[in-house]
Amino acid sequence: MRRYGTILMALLLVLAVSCYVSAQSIEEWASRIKAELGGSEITCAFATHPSTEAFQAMTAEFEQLTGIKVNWDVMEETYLKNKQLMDFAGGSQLYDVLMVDGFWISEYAPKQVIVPLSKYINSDATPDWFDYEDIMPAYRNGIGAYEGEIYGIPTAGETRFVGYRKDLFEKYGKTPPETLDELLELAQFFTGREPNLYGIAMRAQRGIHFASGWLTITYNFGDGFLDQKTWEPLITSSGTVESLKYFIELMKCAPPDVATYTHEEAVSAFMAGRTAMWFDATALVSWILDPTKSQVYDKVGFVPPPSGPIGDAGVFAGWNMAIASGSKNKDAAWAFITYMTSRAKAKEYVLHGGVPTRTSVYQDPELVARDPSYPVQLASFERANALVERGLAWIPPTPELGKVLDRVGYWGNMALIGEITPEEACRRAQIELEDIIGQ
Amino acid sequence: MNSRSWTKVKRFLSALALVAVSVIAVFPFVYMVIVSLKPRVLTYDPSVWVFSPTFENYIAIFRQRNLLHFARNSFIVVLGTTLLSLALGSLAAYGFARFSFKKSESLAFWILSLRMLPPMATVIPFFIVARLLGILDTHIVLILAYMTFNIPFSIWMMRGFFEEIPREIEEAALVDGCSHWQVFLRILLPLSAPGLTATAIFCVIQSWNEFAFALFLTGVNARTLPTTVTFFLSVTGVIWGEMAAVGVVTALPVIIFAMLVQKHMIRGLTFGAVKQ
Amino acid sequence: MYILPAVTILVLLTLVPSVFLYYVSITDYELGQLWSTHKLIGFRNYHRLLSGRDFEFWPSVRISITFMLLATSIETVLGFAIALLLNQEFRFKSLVFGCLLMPITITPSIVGQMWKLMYNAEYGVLNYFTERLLGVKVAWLGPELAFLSTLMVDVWQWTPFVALIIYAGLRSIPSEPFEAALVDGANTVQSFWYITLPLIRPLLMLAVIFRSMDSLKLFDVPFVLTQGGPGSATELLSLHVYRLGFAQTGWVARAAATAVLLLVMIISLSRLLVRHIREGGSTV
Repeated sequence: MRRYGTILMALLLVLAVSCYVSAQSIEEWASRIKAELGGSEITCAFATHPSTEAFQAMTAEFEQLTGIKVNWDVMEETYLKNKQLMDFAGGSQLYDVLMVDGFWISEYAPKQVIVPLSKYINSDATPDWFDYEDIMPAYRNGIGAYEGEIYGIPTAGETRFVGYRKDLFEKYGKTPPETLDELLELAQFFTGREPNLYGIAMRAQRGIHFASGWLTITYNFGDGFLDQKTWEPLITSSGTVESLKYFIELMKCAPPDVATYTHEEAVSAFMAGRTAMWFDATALVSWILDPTKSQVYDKVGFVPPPSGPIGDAGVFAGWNMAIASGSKNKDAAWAFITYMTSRAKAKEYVLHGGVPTRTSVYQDPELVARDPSYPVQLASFERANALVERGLAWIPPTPELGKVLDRVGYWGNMALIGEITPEEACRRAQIELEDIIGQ
Repeated sequence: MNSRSWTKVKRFLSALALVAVSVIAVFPFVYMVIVSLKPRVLTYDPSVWVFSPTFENYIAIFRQRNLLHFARNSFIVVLGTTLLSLALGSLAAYGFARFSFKKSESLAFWILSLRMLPPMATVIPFFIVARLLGILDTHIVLILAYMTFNIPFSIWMMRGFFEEIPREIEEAALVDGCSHWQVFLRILLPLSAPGLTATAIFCVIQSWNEFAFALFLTGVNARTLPTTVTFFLSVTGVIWGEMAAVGVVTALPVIIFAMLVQKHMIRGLTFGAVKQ
Repeated sequence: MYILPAVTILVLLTLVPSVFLYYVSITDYELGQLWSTHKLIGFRNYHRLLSGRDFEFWPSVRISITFMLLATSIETVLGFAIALLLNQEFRFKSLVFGCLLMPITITPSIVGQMWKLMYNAEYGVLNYFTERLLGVKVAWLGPELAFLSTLMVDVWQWTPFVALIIYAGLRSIPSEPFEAALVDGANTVQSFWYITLPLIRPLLMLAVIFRSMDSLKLFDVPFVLTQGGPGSATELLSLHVYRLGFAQTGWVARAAATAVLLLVMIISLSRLLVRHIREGGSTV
């Protein structure tokens, strides 16, 4: 009994001490950091992204508060990945903080490009106002973790939903789609209904873009590309083949060169008023609603992703901040991450154009008033959660993911342009995937 | 009479062809200028030709994207690599053009074949070597990397031009008591000024616009202009206006340079002039 | 020796990358893998390519060669014509000159982006013209036309290069042969055929060599325009090398093997061309 008492006492003591540390204000935290790490320098390798711009806008204040100098190396995402991997493999140690796509975590973690973060998160030095738990759980587990360990702090999250032209739907007396069948019917209805009008725009360029577009609806038909327990390829399973057929049917209602579309062309076609619907990432909404960028900003509505033959599913994707394993300044890097991704700074970050991942942001009345799509985004998260309940991650967490998506997206795109049948595409993709997974 | 009207028709047709060629060559550039001046919302509407231009994009690339820093790097790298490549290349070209020796063809060919390595295949080894030498993210690494394609280019171009020049001119000079060096510097180089100019223009263009090495061998310090294009390929879409502005700003110095030096191509000394 | 400095530097600069390339092509190295963990696997990467287990290899070889042949011949013919046009006195010459240079001076990756914007079927400026003038909407980057559209950009961008090299050549031709020919009563066509062409031949061939080599390793523009798609319509070998070695897959070793085969192809091809010119050239 007394032993337990001692332990309890010790625990309470630790708790008290850590409360004392964690309850400090940003200023107190910053002055401590300044004393410990002031004068050090960190370099961030980030993708070109609205969130990056938001972080850059917040940098001056961080530098002033902590005395840590921040350098930015910003580039397009594919180059970013190559550069990060080269920096790691070549041991050049150029970078401290990395912006890492949720898709890359399962490759970076086993290669040890980035370091586990739980010891930093649980450290007493991490203040209360950082609040890891406030980040939506699906993001924490779905894009920032690998095999139970935390490797990245989700900074920019996205799910996908359907945008539609309210004016056109009213004019023809249509209601927004609830199911994928309705989505297809509507897309077919609007294609050619008016001059230069198509049903829908999505991404379908060969490679990862097609794979990503296809993944938007894959889980509504089956378990996706890979069995997430045994890592057997599932491309030839009936659900996945059906989903490809559906996706190709849907893309017949898209502009004729959709086979070269990335998210960029897809959203541009929608913003130029050329398609009645659009089914893509929530992170792009700020563009659609921006009068300086979009011709349809005042005519659009949004609905959650329609349900498919086997029910609801949805997307969880996004970006993390992580610490490069080659970094010589890991503590300064963590200080930077703490500050930039904290709950205390979340609102400021979103107001600078950053893409949110935190529950507190989605519940903030002022921010909700600013972006009318927030409630629909939340509803979309709920649908996406159905996938989590099925025990599936939208991004299959395998180190071979990049290869899988590249090959799957290649064969899918071949089927889209009619070079081969969808069944044949699935068969060939299956062969290549067995080869990749078997390695 | 007949022949004069024929000449007129010919002149007219060739003028027409020149105008057509120029328009086709220039149109995408002009469109880029238009995009760089258009407000963002109009980028996707090609039917709008008249609009009040915005200079926001230009202001943004200099203020926020710090374009001058990249321009400075580009300038240093291009200057270094072009001068070195031209000097070494034309010297070697002289050797190849005038002194045939055993295996000279094979050697010349080997040099040419170096240019064929796809940059994506050599960038990783370059990266590793540069790291070992500690020159990653400096101007030197890019100057050296660009010499791998500029020197072969200069050698082969200049060799072609040197060979066009009749040997007799040179031999006459040698008889007059000039050394090979003097022949090279005083006679061959000036005579092949059009070639030297053309070679210089293309060396400058190739290095000014090189992308793969520039991106992968540098960090924040020695980045050059072309790599800035990746700033504008945002996850949420292409930032067209700023990218087009960078395209315009990047192209201008080269165009100005080329237009300045092109008179050397036109006024290149002819052989008649030397003989007189 | 005049050649020595250049050769020494080239050897120093390229020895390591070439050796590395050959070496890595017989390993299983992947991007981001620690170098110490790679294994030698012999010629398995080559076997994989040649046996057709890499589905895209042979189609890309075919696409690359078709592209090279078309691009080089179109650019040479057009370039020659433009050089002849330039090679006369007229006003605004430096303006025309500047116009011609513009395509080459724009950074290739931005060129790709701009053409992608112009080619777009829905909001591109080319279709704005075709719809206005011809009443048709063209899917420039659709499966049927993507290859030709990519070719068109290359022709647009690199014909001036050929034109300027030939023009520089025309400019440095001595004038006596023509004067002599004029005295002999040769007409324009004859003096072009018997004097200009042979004299310009080495440079003409040089332009052909550079264009065929460069079009085989063309990367930036198709990468931005189509990413090799739709399907495999524009998957040039150089894109294929990149896709294998970088991007999402990171099979550096397999990419190296493909690059070595590409190199073998380019070298044997240009060897043929070079021999042809040098022998032809020596008879002049």
